[in-house]
Amino acid sequence: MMTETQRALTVAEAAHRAARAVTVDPSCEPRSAAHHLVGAWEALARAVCLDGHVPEDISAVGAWLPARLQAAIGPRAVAELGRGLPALQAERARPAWEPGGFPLARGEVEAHTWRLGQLLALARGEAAPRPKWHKQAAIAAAAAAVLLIAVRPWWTLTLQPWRGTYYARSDHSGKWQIRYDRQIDFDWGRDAPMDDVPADRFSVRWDSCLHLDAPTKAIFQSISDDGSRVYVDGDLVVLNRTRGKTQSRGGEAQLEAGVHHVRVDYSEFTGDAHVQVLASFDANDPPKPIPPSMLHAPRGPADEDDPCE
Amino acid sequence: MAWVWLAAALVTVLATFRQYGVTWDEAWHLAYGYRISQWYTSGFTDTGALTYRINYLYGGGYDLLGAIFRAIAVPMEGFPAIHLLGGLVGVLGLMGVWKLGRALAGPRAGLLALVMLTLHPVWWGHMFNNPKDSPFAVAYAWSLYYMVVAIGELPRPSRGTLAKLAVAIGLALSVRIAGLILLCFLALVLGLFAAHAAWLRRSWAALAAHVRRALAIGAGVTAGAWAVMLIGWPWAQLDPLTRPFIALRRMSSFDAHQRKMPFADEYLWNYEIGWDYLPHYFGFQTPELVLVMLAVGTVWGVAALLRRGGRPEHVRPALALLLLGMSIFVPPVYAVYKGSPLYDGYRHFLFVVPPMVALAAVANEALIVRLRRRWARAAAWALTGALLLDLLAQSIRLHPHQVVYFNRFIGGVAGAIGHYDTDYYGNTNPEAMLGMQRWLWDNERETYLDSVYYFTGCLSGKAMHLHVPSNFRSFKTRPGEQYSDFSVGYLRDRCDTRFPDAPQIFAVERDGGVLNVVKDLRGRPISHRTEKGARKRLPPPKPAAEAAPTVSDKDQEVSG
Repeated sequence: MMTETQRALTVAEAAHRAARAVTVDPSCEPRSAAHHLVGAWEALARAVCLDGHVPEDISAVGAWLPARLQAAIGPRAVAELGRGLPALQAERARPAWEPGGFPLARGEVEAHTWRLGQLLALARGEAAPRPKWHKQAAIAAAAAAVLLIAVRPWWTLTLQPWRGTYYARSDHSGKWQIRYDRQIDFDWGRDAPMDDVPADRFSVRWDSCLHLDAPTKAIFQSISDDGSRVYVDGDLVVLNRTRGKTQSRGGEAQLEAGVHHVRVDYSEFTGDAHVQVLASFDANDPPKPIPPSMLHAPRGPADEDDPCE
Repeated sequence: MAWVWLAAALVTVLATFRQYGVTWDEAWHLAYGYRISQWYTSGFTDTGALTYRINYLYGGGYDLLGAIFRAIAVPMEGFPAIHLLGGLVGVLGLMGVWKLGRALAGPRAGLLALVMLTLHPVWWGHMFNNPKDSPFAVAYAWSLYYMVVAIGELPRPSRGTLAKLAVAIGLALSVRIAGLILLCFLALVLGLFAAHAAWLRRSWAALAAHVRRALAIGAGVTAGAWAVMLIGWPWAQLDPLTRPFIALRRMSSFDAHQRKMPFADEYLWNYEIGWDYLPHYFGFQTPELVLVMLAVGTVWGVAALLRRGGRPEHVRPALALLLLGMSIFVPPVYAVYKGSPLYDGYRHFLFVVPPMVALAAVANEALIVRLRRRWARAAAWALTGALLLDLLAQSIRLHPHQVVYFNRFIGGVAGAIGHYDTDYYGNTNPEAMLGMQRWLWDNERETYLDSVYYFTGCLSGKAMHLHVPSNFRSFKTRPGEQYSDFSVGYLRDRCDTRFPDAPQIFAVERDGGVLNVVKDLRGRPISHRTEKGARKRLPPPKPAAEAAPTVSDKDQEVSG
């Protein structure tokens, strides 16, 4: 059973639809919407004013519109609606045969119609009084969270597990710079690995600390051009001596549970430069890049004997 | 419910984006995106983007976005980053088709469209590593959605709707100038609405007023879209009113990739194909449910347009339906009419998949709600659910090669092999390389660690380094004479038939069809293992073919 309020709102919505059809039609004069708009206002006043206390003159919108609706659409919108309504009432009261000016432009009538539509939706309870930006902000935050999780920029902010000491000579001596790398997998070609290090005749020493939960037979593989060596706890596991061509060499080490110091020495003389170090901790699997979660970077000075202690 | 589904799709993207291979076009799009970013960061002095390959004829909106995303995603490498972006943009396309379905026929149809597109294997497979067709299709779907919204608001769409429509069309144009077709659709819709309104009033003045309004809307949207398009297209910025049309003319007669390919029972050049090329691929690479419902929806839509399209109360739904129909059928029909060279299945027409799915979902939902008996409706929903579950199972079986999907009308992937292109994009190469690595580890472990293996094939050696260690290298990097130890070959250009006398050690298979084979060449004489030797020993062509197919220019350029 429809209540009096719902009935009045239904009438107001029908009049508003008619007004909208007229205002959006470029072949209709905007003034012809006045009749429907004032009808919608009158029906809205019947719907929202309790116990039939509808004021005789509804042009002072701010005086009779409930505070809840005024707050929802904002004081500026209320003021603009109040400014437009008297002109619409005057237009409706004017006999059709009498000439007369209409002070509102098409844009103003369209804006008035749109705001009245908002008001009707709010009165019906269909439009959420909460501004839409909450929902949009929540969607934006969720999207940003997904992007952050996917991209993981903290990778670059946290310390990478391989401490690389880059030397400007091929024998791990002379001037050096430190950079932390996520993996040992570089293909520099004929380029220099970093500023102040030449493209030829340079060397790099990477140190990292490998965590093992159980005794493991580890297989290491080094593929490089030019030569490289892999040490575990000071013992040479892989010796890859080559000049001017890519070569792969592997080696095994039986490691106890705990932390082990892994050192990789790489030297470049001339030509292309690349190096990749892999390891396998399960004999069924071929060597793969060592997961960074199994490694941590040494914190002490670069020349320590066992930086993982 | 739809949001939950979208979240699940997003999680799947995040979990699987690294498993997709690098496709032919990606390296060039990566480089083009970098050059466009350089155009801006150098203060318009680095002009590399103005002459880069043939890419300068394409808008680089998505490529520029990719360059920005890669910069954010450091230290993630370029290809994984771009695959992640592709997956995220693909999910945006899912959202677009959900909204389109909702706008056309309500929330249930929207949800059904969303589920159907998510489970469309060809769509899902292209999301990650197709830097052109997939983003264009996403922008196309959103453009259609905003156009449907604007139709609902006619004759006075809100400024917000028009601005969003302009951005969506602009993004489509910034990937492919063929997005101009969207502006044609918009013009037609606005023109029909104005004519209908004038006809109702029998008034020339009304016609003039509506035409003025339509022109204002059309001009505003076009200007906005043009501005968005130019952001990612340096070459067009230098002459924004002429160059996009030059690009359109050149792209309409695009013949840079001339290749032979299997089609039905023949082996044809791509410029020799008939009108039936696209119907074959759409017929066999569209899920059965979507295909049947699309046919039902098309017949129902045409009947509805003829019966009720002219009625004043139906003009907006009729225009929306007409727009949807045009967006599905006009581009392929136009391509057939122009005789455009076609290849790679319907990859270039991926953009018609979202509206196709939307129409199928609308038809499916409309059919079910028209059933009178409750049990009949429940049974129809259960049948729809079962077919969608079957599609999900097929998609999982094909993963990550969903692009090779063929429906049961041709017998699945196995039925299509030899008759149609399957993996034309090289997506199976990483799996083949990993299979080769595993085979060597299992069979030659004692020498594996100390060996460097040189391979050849229709693939990019650099891209393969993402998937296998660097002791697997392109034959081009071999010191001295360039010969190979292994051949990796997918089915395009009959790459799998090279080195016919070498033993096969691994094959990538899906649903009973072989998609890629690895051959061990090490027992052959060295003269057989060079590229020249391989060309000499190609097997004789099939009787239907006129000449032996060769590796296309494009493939040769990056082979190995």
